[in-house]
Amino acid sequence: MHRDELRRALDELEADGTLDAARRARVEERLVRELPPARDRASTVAGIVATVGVLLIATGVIHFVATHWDDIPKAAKLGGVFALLLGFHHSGYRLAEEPGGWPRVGVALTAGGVLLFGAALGLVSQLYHLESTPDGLLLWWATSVPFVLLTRSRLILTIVLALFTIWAVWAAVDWLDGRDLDRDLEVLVALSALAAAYAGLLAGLAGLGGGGRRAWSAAAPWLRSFAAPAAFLSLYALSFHDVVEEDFVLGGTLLVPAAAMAAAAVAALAAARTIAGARHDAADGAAFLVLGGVPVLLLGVAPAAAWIVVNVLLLAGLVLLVARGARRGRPEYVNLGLLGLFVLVLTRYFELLAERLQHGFLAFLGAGVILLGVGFFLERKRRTWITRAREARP
Amino acid sequence: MTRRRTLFLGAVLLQAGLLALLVASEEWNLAFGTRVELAVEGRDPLDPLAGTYQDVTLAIERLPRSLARDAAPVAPGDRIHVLLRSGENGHVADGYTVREPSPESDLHLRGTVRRVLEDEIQVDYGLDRYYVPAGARDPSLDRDVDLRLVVLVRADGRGTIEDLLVDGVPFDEWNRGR
Repeated sequence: MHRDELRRALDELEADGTLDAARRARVEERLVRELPPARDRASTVAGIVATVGVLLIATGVIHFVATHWDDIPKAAKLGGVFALLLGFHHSGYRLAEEPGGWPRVGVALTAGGVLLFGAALGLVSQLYHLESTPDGLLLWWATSVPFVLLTRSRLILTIVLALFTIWAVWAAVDWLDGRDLDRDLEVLVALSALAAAYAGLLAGLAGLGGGGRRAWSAAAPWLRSFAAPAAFLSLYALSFHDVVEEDFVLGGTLLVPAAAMAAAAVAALAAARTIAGARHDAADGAAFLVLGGVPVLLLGVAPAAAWIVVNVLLLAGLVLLVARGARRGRPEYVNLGLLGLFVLVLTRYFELLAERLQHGFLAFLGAGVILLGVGFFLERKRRTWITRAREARP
Repeated sequence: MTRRRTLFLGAVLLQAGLLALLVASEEWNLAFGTRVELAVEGRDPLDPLAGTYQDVTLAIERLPRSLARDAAPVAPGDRIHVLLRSGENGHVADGYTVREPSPESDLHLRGTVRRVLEDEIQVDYGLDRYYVPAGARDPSLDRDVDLRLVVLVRADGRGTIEDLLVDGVPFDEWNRGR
């Protein structure tokens, strides 16, 4: 129900004497607590429009440079890049901070500056015939982190997380490639373990934000909402029956990138637990590490049985995620857990059952029954769990 | 100046400064490096996905293990210094070592060991790409063409690509002639 409709309904109840002024105040107080905060839609639209505008300007500049590449002297190319980089950041700061008044447009320009730095690195690489390596991406990520802390923008945080994720995958694959560990299955296992460790790291960083540190606290929910999907993906990737070969040999070298990430995760989780007192995030992160680590280690002992264990762990993990979300006041965990269960059921259905059915119509009927069942279940239960999660919100 | 403005300025200057440092380092190489010509063994067609460039594979990317100057074997990821000497077809590898040669010793190029095979090692020098103008002719389409990469090498072994010679002619000049 829309907020205005709720307000009108309360007016009517007060007018016909069902609610007195004191009770109405208590109802309003409860509604404010239960309902998600009202969104400033106009402001959100302004942010989206400004971001699209910045991207279009950047595309226009890149297109101009690309079409006149051979006619532009090197000094002009470099000068243009520096001018654009400084211009975007200066305008972004002026609009968002001093004198301010245009926070959405300002942050969009700062985000444009962050993206432009990557384009500048690419241009310099092209001018001097430099090889593309993960190091360049790491530099881009590291120098962009301060802008997340200064602006507390989710857009810039998302860019920075994307940069770190791409770097981590690229660096891991590059490292494996250099050691002749580049078979599909080896890369899959290594990246699966890496994703679990990454989930632990994100939970740890979210925990540090939950400790009241202002610059991080805005980022904490966003980091948390990326952590659980990363953990889910780490298990989901290994949950397919045909993916693991019986003669698979798990070498320690394969897990070095994940071990490095796990070390960072453990440090972040320990800091979240001891410094910020975020024991729930620390527990979540530890669970992500264990859930992702157990199947990978099991691959070294009994590869043939690993997929069963992975599926059991995945199922148990998703149920626990929903329960934890409802108990600890994290609706995003409830939604992700239910979405994961839905994806898992449908994947296993098509993988194991649908191909054995002789007639195509049976496969459609079966999938339809599953989807209806899930819809019925969600209709009945999801709202209850989300309400419970909101009530438990700290 | 407020603390917030100082922090923001610091973040911007960090990006701009690192970019300027990268440019300065490459310009320094181009101005003061020692010019070497390295034979190119393989080359791929133009790849429009990463801009337009020639994927060059240097002959010295594969080195016989007999060229090792150290007793201990090298492993993937090790940084090595490949000693260069002038040969008939440009500069060729004269040996490799993990120890950094002294500045006054032989000319050398710094690289990273990618693979160690039974009788050879594969080395990455970060000199795999030569960017060309969009629409430039692909020299690999010509049979028996002699390709050489012109690299300017600093005393510490770092190299910067200056040009790609096609049958002894700088790439731009060769491309214009076509």
